[in-house]
Amino acid sequence: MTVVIISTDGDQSTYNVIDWLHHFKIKVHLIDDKNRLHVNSVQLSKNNHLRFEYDNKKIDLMEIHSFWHRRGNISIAFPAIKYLEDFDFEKQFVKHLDQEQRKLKEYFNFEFRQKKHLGNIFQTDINKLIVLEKAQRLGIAIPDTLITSNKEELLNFKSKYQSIICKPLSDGLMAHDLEIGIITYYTNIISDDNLKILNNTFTVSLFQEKIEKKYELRIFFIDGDFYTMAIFSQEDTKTSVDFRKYNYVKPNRTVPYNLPVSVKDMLKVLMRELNLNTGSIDMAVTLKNDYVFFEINPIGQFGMTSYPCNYYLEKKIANYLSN
Amino acid sequence: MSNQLLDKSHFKLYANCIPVKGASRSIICDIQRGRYNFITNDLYEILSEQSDLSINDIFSFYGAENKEILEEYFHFLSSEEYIFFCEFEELGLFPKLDLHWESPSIITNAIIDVGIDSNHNFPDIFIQLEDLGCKALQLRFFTETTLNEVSEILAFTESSSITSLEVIIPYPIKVTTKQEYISFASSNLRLSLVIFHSAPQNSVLENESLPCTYILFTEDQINDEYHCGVISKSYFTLNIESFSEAQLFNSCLNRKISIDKSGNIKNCPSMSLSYGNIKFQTLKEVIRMKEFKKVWSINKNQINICKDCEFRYICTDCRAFISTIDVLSKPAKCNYNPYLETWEEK
Ligand code: SF4
Ligand code: SF4
Repeated sequence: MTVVIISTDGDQSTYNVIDWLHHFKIKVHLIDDKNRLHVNSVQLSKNNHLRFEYDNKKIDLMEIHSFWHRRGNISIAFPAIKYLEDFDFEKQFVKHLDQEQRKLKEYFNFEFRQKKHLGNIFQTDINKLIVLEKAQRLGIAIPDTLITSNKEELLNFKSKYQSIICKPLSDGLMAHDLEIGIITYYTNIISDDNLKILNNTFTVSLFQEKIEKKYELRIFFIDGDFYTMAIFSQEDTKTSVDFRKYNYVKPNRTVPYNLPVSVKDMLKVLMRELNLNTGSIDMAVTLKNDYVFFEINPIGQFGMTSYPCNYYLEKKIANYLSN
Repeated sequence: MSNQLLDKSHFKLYANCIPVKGASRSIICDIQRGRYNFITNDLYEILSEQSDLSINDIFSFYGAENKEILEEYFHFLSSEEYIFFCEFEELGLFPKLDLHWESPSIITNAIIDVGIDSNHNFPDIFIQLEDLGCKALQLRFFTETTLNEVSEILAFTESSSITSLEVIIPYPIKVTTKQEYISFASSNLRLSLVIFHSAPQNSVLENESLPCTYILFTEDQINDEYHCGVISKSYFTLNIESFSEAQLFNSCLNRKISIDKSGNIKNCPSMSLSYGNIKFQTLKEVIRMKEFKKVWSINKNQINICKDCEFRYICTDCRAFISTIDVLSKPAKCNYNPYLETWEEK
């Protein structure tokens, strides 16, 4: 039995899952971003036959039992002819080659997904706003959210809630520069000083009411099962806005948590609607014991939930892929 | 604290703060932060037997005369962040930590000794260890060797599954510069610990360039396998892997395999029982023998005296040097008396 894993080079969680797959005596093809996939032949007939090569190993789709898209993406080798993009003609040609590659990739993903699979290669770059809207429609509480470029609107929003936060529409930002140092942009509280220096209009940004959390929940979802960890981030003001700004001296308490069935049921529907069979869900329990939903990370850093809670998620993933 | 005590009716231990009861005192093992603290056995009872009671009920159970001491307990527990205060309904939301242990590796760690007459086929041994999923390897050189020679042996691990390498080598006869030590240690990124024994003095080599490798010098002459099995507070380990493994398995020998200086395959080089020789047997053949795996599951709950010791899940065991002929007797090189709470000087 063979499992194909798509991941990035050096991802420890991937290796931990592979250790379990080997333990189950399963053959693994790891496709990471070190090499490109070489397509040998694809026969579209009654019995589809797709053969490709990766890192000099021949792989036949028929022999693959399951497929895990952990992170990263596949890239298919295409003619490495360099065209100058100065002329419209060449530009169009390069664009055409890109399209050709894209279609082939789409087809690969389609074929992979016919197999038993985990992760959804088209969903790694999930849209926060769509997810929030869908969650809300399903009756899951979300923080009041405003996207605006207008200061007045922002001031009204701020006066409605005691405290508001600003966060990126996409992923967080971490930029290095020798002169400036490291700039990170995750989630920040908007202070009155921030507002003072703001122009009447600014780059359109996402704002949310700041939820007073009793504890945060990091929920790993796999094929209908939930593994939840509670994070007590309030004790320490340094981490109370975003857990990722980790406090190394006295790390926040992270303990296993029993997610109520009613919350699980709603999340199951949400995951189904988003076409995801795995992912990491961020929520919080408020001071009033409400469950508020923040976002889903389809790639899911399950290692940080698995280890402190002794959940052995690496084994569960390997089990899923090999059953 | 007293405010919190008033607002919330109950308390809960964080699941990774686990009280362990000893003969005359207990400890709270903070598995997450890797530290422990002593508590009285009375407090242990409250934390384990009465943890579902409301704080008021606990106060009234122990009566007015104990109020002050209880307040002190709760203050200590919350300021160390071992407990949090909550409502009755929240108690069920926080399950205990599941302490089961398992590993995808058939062998998780190995020791290989090298003496004057050793003639190990290292490339072959490493391939065998790789096949068994071995992650941690300790190499001990009892007699004179050179850093180059050791580097060459270590180079055979390059493409293996081993993630952590420890080497114990005699202090070099040839004068060696700090730079030479560092370049030796950086020649293999898996090296986490290098100990030079029989050194002129005890010291630690300061090196900022290798934050994950410790280079130590010790006056001890580690020239045979007798130099092992010492039980000391400074060897206690406190993390979720070792704590959960120690619940049901031997905290030194579980999933360990060793090759002594003569090539004998053993649970540990210091034990007399050999299960074959690496020249004639494969490691796999030895592991298939039921007898070989027997010591893997001798745990501290079964060992005399240790089973009454509050350190039993953070202490590494030793089965090679034990105090009596009874296989379940306490490690011989432990000076701790859990009944008197004292470490006896030898
Ligand atoms: S059993 Fe004792 S002598 Fe053997 S490796 Fe363990 S601590 Fe050392
Ligand atoms: S009595 Fe046993 S458990 Fe306690 S310190 Fe000594 S060897 Fe370790």
